[in-house]
Amino acid sequence: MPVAPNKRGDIMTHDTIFLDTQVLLLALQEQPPAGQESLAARARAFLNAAIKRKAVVMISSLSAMELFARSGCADHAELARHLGESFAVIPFDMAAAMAAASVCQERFNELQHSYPGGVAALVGDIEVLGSAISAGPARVLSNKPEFQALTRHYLNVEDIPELPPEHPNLF
Amino acid sequence: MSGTAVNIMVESEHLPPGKFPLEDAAQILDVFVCLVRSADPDALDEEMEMSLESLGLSSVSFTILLSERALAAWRKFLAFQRGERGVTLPAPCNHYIVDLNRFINRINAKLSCSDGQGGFVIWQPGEMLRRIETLLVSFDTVLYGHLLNVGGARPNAHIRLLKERRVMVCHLRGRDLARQLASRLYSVVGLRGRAEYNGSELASFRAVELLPYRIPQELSALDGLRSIVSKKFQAATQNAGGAQ
Repeated sequence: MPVAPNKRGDIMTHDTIFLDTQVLLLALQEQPPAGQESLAARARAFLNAAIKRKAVVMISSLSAMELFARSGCADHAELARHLGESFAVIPFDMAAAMAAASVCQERFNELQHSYPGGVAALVGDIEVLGSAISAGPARVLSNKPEFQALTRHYLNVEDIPELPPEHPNLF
Repeated sequence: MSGTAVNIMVESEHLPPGKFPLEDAAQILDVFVCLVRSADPDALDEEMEMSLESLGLSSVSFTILLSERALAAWRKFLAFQRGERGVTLPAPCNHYIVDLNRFINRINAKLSCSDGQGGFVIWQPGEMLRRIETLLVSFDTVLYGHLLNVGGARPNAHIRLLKERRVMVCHLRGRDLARQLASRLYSVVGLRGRAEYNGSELASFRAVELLPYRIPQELSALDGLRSIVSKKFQAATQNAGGAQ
């Protein structure tokens, strides 16, 4: 079956972005916690822009767990359906577990001594990073300095971008 | 043609005297060629020269002239077979090694392979299969990628993985799944199934289910999700405020 050139073009141009838990939570809240309004607006703008660009937005199943934990059991099925339809949900499977374990082994001394609470306090971040490594996105979006520092060694990590400046009405 | 001569000798006492089947010998050579190719796809660009050295009562011996590049791939394979630490082969090699091992197990043969430097690697039946089995890990997972093609008598799908951007042929559970996938041709799909990994490299995947994921076409696609999340966050915030 012949393939239209634009179809082939589309195939090659999808961006892949992995969202950290915090970014996901901020992007989905219509009324963010006090003091985080600006950050939430940036996260929401980024997610909107990603959808407009037809990017593949990935999240870890561990981040999904954070959403489930914050919702009632009655909403779990609907939440799971929405998440599964709109995001590429990366499971914390054996590949992710092996990747997370490698991070622990490679960087144990540094993590143990550089962060309050050591490796034990970073287990959640390391697990999410394991999911990200197993998914191999083009970039990871996080506003958490510890997660950014951890991820920088393995993947291209970025902070939530600033909102573009509003253009004055020249007319 | 110039090159380094390597020797492959197969001995099997279980074969009838003088009856070493040439088709079996050809199969062994075929697997070795595939092994060298999968270790380095361009290793055998030129024609390969091979000669039948001897066809004994229960043995067969070949000499192959390998180019420098093919020899490097060959030595890498032998180093892996010796169990040298840190030597890994691309995932497709495993299938050929398993094939070869099954074959030499079937005829209970002993394989001697020279490395072109006077060294030999002797391969006893059953050795390699055990090593390969310990290297392969299989588990249930999901894969996301661009669906490039689907079909076949034994249904399979060609998917460009988002992770490595390489095209992978995924086996499909049945024709129903193939039909579902056909309607999603050239789009990003998510598949649940059983993956086989060689170390950290995905070696094979058998898909059992198409996931509902589609790249959202418009911003309103997230409205439902936002309303659930926001409803609960507001309730949680109010509860927290009340507790204080």
